[in-house]
Amino acid sequence: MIALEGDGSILMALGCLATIGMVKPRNLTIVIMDNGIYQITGRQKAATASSADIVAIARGAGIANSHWVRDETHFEELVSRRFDADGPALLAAKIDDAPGTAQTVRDPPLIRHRFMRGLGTARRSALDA
Amino acid sequence: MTWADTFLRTLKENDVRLVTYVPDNVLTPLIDGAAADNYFMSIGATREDEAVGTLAGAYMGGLRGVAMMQTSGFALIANALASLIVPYQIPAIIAVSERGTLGEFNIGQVTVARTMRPTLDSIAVTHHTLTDEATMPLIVDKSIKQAFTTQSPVVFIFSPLLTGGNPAAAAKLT
Repeated sequence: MIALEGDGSILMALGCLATIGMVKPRNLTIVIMDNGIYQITGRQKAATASSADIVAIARGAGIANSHWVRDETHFEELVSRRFDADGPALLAAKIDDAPGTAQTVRDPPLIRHRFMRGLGTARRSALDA
Repeated sequence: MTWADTFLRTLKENDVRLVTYVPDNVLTPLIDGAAADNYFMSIGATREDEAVGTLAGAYMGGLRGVAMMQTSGFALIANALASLIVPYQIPAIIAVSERGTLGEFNIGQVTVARTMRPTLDSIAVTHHTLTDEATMPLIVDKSIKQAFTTQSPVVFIFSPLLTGGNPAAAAKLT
């Protein structure tokens, strides 16, 4: 399982890192894309731009396998580990602060259903034929 | 059989295995009962919206769950309900112990308790107040089945009439 998060988003929910550090799901990799700003609301600075260190916070919360990603090669190396290897991992990467280039289709039940079909957990019916 | 045993048994009968919770005095028999039973996967969350979010992920992964919290914790989950559970049609089962009424000593609990039912009504989330052991099994069983069949959340409010209320409260009332 790979969870994709932003720095502003994880700052709002730091408690979940403590829960993950406690439960230690072996198959979880968290990828934090850290642009240091709240891009979508007007580029206001986040605490990650100056003082908050997501990797240090994650390690302190009990996710020992937490790393800053140096470059694309380093990311490939870290993300291709065995998913069930050694407990949860957190990979944080400083990214550019350009706005997103595409918009997700805003249809929550469709998003959920497609996600569940991908996992094989969705309801099946004649409509799926 | 106590109300807590009855509730846990009904969860089992409906394949609800994941229990997420934020600690609460009144719900202690439920939380401890689930933790002591290997049938359940029991996870203490740091916040109530985290407990609800965990349910959403578990449901999409094929695991049914219940989130347990007290009334003041419920006040934290309006956004999780209105922007995740309701629009994504996640059948979250939520158990809330009712504080703020029938012998409450904490004025903050009294005020926040008044927001609970209006919040649920405003986003059309089904809720049932459990007041006695006679009607509780039918209400809980049928409502859980309805939730999963119709892809809708349901909230069970555990009244002091059922639970006896907060055991620490009596000594603090004047």
